[in-house]
Amino acid sequence: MFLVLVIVIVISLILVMVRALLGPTLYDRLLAVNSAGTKVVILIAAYGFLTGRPDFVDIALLYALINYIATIAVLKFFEYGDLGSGGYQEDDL
Amino acid sequence: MNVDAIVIENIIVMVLLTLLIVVAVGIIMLNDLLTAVILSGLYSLLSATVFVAMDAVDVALTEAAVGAGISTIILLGTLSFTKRIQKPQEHNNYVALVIVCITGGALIYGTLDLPSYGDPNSPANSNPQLAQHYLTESKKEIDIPNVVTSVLASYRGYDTLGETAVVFTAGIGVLSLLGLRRRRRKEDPLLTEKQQRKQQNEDN
Amino acid sequence: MLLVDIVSGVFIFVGCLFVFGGAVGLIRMPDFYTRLHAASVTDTGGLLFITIGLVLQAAFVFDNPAAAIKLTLTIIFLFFTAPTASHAVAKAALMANITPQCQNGKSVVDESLNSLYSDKGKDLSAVLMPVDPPEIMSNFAESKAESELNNKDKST
Repeated sequence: MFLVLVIVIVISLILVMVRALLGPTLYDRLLAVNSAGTKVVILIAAYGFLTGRPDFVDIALLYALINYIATIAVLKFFEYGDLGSGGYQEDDL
Repeated sequence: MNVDAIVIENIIVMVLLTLLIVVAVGIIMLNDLLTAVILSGLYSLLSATVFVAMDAVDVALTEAAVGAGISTIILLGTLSFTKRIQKPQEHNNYVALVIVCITGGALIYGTLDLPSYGDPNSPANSNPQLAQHYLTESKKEIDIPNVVTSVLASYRGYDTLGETAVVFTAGIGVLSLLGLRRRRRKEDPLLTEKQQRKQQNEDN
Repeated sequence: MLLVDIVSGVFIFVGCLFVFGGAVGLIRMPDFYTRLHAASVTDTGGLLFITIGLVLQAAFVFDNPAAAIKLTLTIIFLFFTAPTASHAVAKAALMANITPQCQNGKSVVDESLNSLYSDKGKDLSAVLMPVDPPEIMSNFAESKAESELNNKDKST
């Protein structure tokens, strides 16, 4: 059961990566990387179960948070042109 | 775990390593730097998965936090000072390629002497006294209850010292980059103007 | 134990279908917004089903309640963050003037206007809006920023 899960997720990861490498626009790549992050979270959790030690889910939890931070940072970069805009705009004026 | 599971595990690790190579080549071929940054996030996600598959959980944790999180943000911060598109290269630098190939070949030649992954005859595994010594004697010798801490900070202290020096240098580099900007802002006439305005407000 | 195995197996199988379908959709769909739809919805759903199956396994088969709790936390985090990230990607793409495409590759805005007005014999150039939705969005953002600036000036 876990073996099937891991294999399906690895195949999906390959498909998503094809889109990340081909993707005509930047947003396609970003979407693919975000989706790959979710799949990696599931893969790490499932891998712990496959090897009989489900203690690796800590890393899955950390990934879930880090992946979100990275995506939001990239999108903030798109919207404002740099990372600091929201932060120290009040100081600038 | 039976033999089939080990074979399948190896296949999964190999697939992930192949994906790593594909992503790395993709990053090299791209001219758009922002896309390269995004794909490097994907690269570190995949490499951390490989670390988990090879039982190096602590390295995977570090790779997840530093590679996928912080380094993406730092690279984006760098990009906001430069342009998004790479400058086209007029000439091909074959000397650099030869040097890189020689260095890489020497590194691969160096790995031939290392024991292979999970080898039962490697010095660390064939010497049961060593692991036993760490497990039983570290409490007496170092007086720290956690074995991992005593190995990291005492038995392997020089290695950790070198790592800490690297991290410290990187921290100084980041601080110098960020600090320069802030100091310039303090000399900014706008700020004094703002302070004046604030004082006026307080007077009113 | 058998019942738990069956139930969690069904959950994991459904989740696998979701994830694999989403990955195929990400490859096959013609334009960005349809790909976004395929990827984001199935990712959240597939993650939910797979993780429920894993929680059942961790709690009853592996007898590891700590892992079950951590997996539950993962579900909760990802259930908030994954749709937020998808929404942010869609918003950024809309701000960058990427319009949804029809099958013939034209923008969906022009195409709907064509189908509305071509059979009534009206002049299209007079009807076509000079401003398409993404520009309205960016205009809105600009005016909002301006009004914020004005407010700030008034307050100081």
